[in-house]
Order: sequence, then C-alpha cells, then structure tokens
Amino acid sequence: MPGMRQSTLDYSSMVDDRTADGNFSINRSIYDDPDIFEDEISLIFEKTWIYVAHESQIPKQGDYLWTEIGRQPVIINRLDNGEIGGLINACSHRGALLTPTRQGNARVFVCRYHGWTFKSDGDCIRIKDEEIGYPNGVDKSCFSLTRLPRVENYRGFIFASLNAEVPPLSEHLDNTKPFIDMMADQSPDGLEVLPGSSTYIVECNWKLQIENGVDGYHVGVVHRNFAQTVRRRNELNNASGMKLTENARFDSGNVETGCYDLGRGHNVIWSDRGAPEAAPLYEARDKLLPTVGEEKWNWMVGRGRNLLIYPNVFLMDQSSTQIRIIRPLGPSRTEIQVFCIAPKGESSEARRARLDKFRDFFLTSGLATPDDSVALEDTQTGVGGKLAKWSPFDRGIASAGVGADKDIRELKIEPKGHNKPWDMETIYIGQYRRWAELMAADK
Amino acid sequence: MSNVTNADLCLQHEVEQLIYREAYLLDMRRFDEWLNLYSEDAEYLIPAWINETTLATDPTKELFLIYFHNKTGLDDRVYRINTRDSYASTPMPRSTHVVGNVLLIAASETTIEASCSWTVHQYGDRKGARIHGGRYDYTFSRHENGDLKIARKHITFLNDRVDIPIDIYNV
Repeated sequence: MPGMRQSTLDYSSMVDDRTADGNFSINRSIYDDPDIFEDEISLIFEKTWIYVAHESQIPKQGDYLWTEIGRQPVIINRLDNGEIGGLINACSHRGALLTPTRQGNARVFVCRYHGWTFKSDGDCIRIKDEEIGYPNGVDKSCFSLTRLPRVENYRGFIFASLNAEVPPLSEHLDNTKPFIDMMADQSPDGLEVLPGSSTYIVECNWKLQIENGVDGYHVGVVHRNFAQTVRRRNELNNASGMKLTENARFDSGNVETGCYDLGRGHNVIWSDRGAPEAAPLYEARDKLLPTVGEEKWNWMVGRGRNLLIYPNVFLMDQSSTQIRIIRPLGPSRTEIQVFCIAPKGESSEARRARLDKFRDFFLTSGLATPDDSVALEDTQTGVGGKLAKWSPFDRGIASAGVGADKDIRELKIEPKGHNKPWDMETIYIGQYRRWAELMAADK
Repeated sequence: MSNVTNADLCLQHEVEQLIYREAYLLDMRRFDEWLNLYSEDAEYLIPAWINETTLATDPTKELFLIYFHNKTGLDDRVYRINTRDSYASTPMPRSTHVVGNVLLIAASETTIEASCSWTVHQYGDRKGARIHGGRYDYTFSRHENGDLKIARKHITFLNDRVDIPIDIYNV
C-alpha cells in the first residue's frame, strides 16, 4: 500500500524557492525517484481534480469510457437521467473490469467473470444464482459498485476526483475558465472530439511533459526544423488561407508572445498568429465576432494558446485544436493520449484543414511531437546524473510581473503573474509551488 | 496449378520486387530513390484506430496518424530528415523491414492491388530494440513507359500505443 507508507522525504527542500534573490530551482530527484513518484500518485493524481473526458465522447444514455485516474481504472458514463457518472471499473464481487472495450454503450454492466449485473449508476441488480448461494437472502445494496466521489463538467470538459474533499470544480479551474471558454465558444452548437485518437508513451517523468507543453523557450530550437519544413512547403504550394501552415511563432521576436501563471499550478502561454486567416476557426468570424466581441475574438483566433490545467491535461489551440492527456505510468514513463477537438458544424474545408494541421504537429507520427518526445527522454536520462543536482527556473524572474497585465485584464481575471515573451520560465514557479503544496499534505 | 499462366507469375514477381525494393530503399535510407517509386498523385495513409477493432476510414473527418493526398507529403518527410536538425531523427535508429505474404488482390492493364504483411525491427542506442508491424494495402499504377509505380499505400499499424516516434522509415 504505497499510499499508506510514511514518507520521510522532505519535499519543501526539493523546491528551492528564493525568487526574491532571483533564484528558483528544482532538485532533479523529483523526476526519477520512485518514492516521490508513489507520493505524487496518492497526493496529486488521487487527491485533486483530474480531466477524464469530453462530453461529446459519451453523448447517449449508457455510453461509457474506461480510463484511469492515477492508477485506478474508472468508468465515466452517461446515466439514464442524462447526467454524467463515474465508477471504479471493478466488479464489487471479485474485482474484474466491467468493460470489454475502452469505449462502448451499456445500459447495464454485466461482469464477464461471474455474471453479476449492475445498473449504469452502479446499483447491483443481479447476483447469478443468488438463491442457491444465499438461501437466507442477501442485501444487494451492499454490493453496489464504488462510485467516484466527485464528477463535474465545465462547458463539456469532464473532470473527476477520487477525493470527496476537493473544492468545487469551478473553484479549481479558477483562472483557466476564460481560456476553456475560448474553446467552448467556438461554435454555438458546442465542440466534438473527432473519431480516433493516438496514444504514445514517452520514457520521461510526467512533470517534464507538463513543463514542455507550456515551454515557449524550446519552440525556436526543437521545432526549428518544423518551421523550415513548412516554410518550404508553403512556398512550393503557394499556400494561402487555411492551406497555409502558420509558422511565425518559431522565430523569436517575430510576433508578440507571453505567458501567465494562472494559480493552482495552471499555466497558459500564447503567441500572436502571423496569419490568423490560416486558423480553421477564421471562417466563423462573421458569426462569432458579434457575440464574443473584439477583445475575446482576438484572444480566440488572433493568438495561439497552450493551456495547462494542472496536473493532467492541456487544451491547445495552435495551428489545430487538441486535448492532450498526461498519465503517469512510472517515474520515467508517461502515457500521452491526444484527441482532436473541433467546433460542431464547421465547414468540410475547415475540418479537413484542422485535421491536416493536427497530424502535422501534434502526433508522434508528425513533424514536431517526436522531436519533443526524444528531447524529453534525453532530459530524463540527463537528470539521472545526480552529481548535478539542480535545474534552475530563473529565466525571466527580473521581468516577471505580479497579477494581470493589459492583455489578460480584458478577460477579467487576476492571474498570479505575467511575463513576456513566452520563453520566460517564471510560470514554472506556479507549477512547482502547487506541487510542493500538494505534496506537503498528510497522506 | 495448371490455371496459373506465365504472365501471372511475372506479375507476382514484378509486384513483389517493387514491394521489396521499397523496403530495401527505406532501410538503406536511400530516400530520393524511394520517392521515385511513387507516382506524383500517390496517396499515403496510416489511419488511427477508432476503437479496438475499427480503423478510421475518412482522413477528412477522422484522425489518421499520417495522411498525404499526394507525394509532396512524403517529400516533406524526407526534407525534414535531411535537415539533420530533427531531434528525433538525428541520429536515425537502424531498421529492417520484413515484408511477406504478398497477395495479388486485383489486376487490370493499368491498376494492380496487392496486400501484404510487414514487420519492422528497429534498434536505437537510446531505446534498444523495438518491433512492430501490420499490413500494407498497395495500389500500383502502370505508367505509359511500362513502369509500375505506387499510387496508393494504406498502412495498417497494429501497435498504435508505441514508445517511439513513427515516421516513413519505420513503418
């Protein structure tokens, strides 16, 4: 029972937080120590809100999805009353999984081991050969499936927690909400996750993944060859409009960029688009601009954004739109699952362009993500060199500002801090202060 | 066997040689020669799995791991590798393709379809050995000069949960 173990590790000493002196450093053992990893599972992944699904994946009563929170198998499903439910994916009898497939439809779950049957909300309704096994009767309500303590939905994005004591989801999402809204408001009909997903494993710690997704600093280095490749392609094809592959963000100083520490570990980085008309959403301008207003439209389509909702999901709206789920498998092993999410009702040209741009960048079979993955695996190997103990996250401390700047003030939120350009590392201070805060809790 | 004509055997041989040549040129990293095996309007597709048993079928509506509607997409890949600036592709892992069970599905004067099984054994200093595989469904077109070119390659990729980058050289 790793969660019950009395940890002797002093996590506060692993985050050297002296920003007043211009220093913020992380002890590299947090990237590969197995004991720290076990505590992260129980104190972070099994204690906070975890993104699990988008509602478009389970539209009909009985639709289910089998996923994991921390290391626990869970079912997220659409109940008979239309609400979204969550269960531990294990028969109350002997523990077998209740779902034959990762996704499906089941108005009742029938255990494939001994045939016990449950309603989609977890009530036990049949024990096979009940009268033989329990001739004096049995109270089936004792055998309900274990329900997830908390399941909530914000604008179609479903989060769940194994901890009944978490604050309401809205409080947890806090300053990320306007950025989630920028996705959710892209169509009056809502969003849909497109069929098919890609799952891949990177042999690195999960925190390297969540750093990387909001790391503006690597973009001009690791993705320089992406920029070079697509620049050539744009020229060869004389590409314009949606066919253009936008690449302004890869050359530092080309366009304005910035980053925010949104609090609670959440971060967002943004970059102005060199060619907003390349965005598949651009066609919706006349329809959306009057409802969302100029300032928000500029945030939605004038800027590309990577939003980290700590600790396990990115909503990325760059050249294409992505949900990227981070799942820790071990200290040096992380699973990434990516989905393309799109506004319902967009034109077939926009849908096609969105998928083209998605494949280009976001997949492990694409032109960019493989370069991130291998860079992170090299980093994982490098941080094993324990004689070199600390990673500095100092870049930009001098220019960091507290609270909102003029850009984010338009969104009427008060982040913890702001900085420009997006390659400043001060947002990680927010990630690691949150990490230290969660890890300091009693197990 | 009496129904098998000499022409059938020649065609089988020609198709197999082309399939094996593609595998060989990829393993030898002779990408420019590899590109020459494809017609200009060649389609290249690796669909994502929609669930445990169903592959995506429409690259304009569903997720594909790779989809090129003509040869320029393949050309991009080769260009990127040749920049020697791709973190994932420098150094390149070693790989060897094994292609077999080559079955002719249909043949006309201008178009031939074939299906075969493949595995790729890959070795890299960082990650060691990896093996993955699937099926190739080819359409070949007979050009006016008699050359047979690849007009369409549909790759079924069985191991869709991989811990290595996927690119044209290792599928």
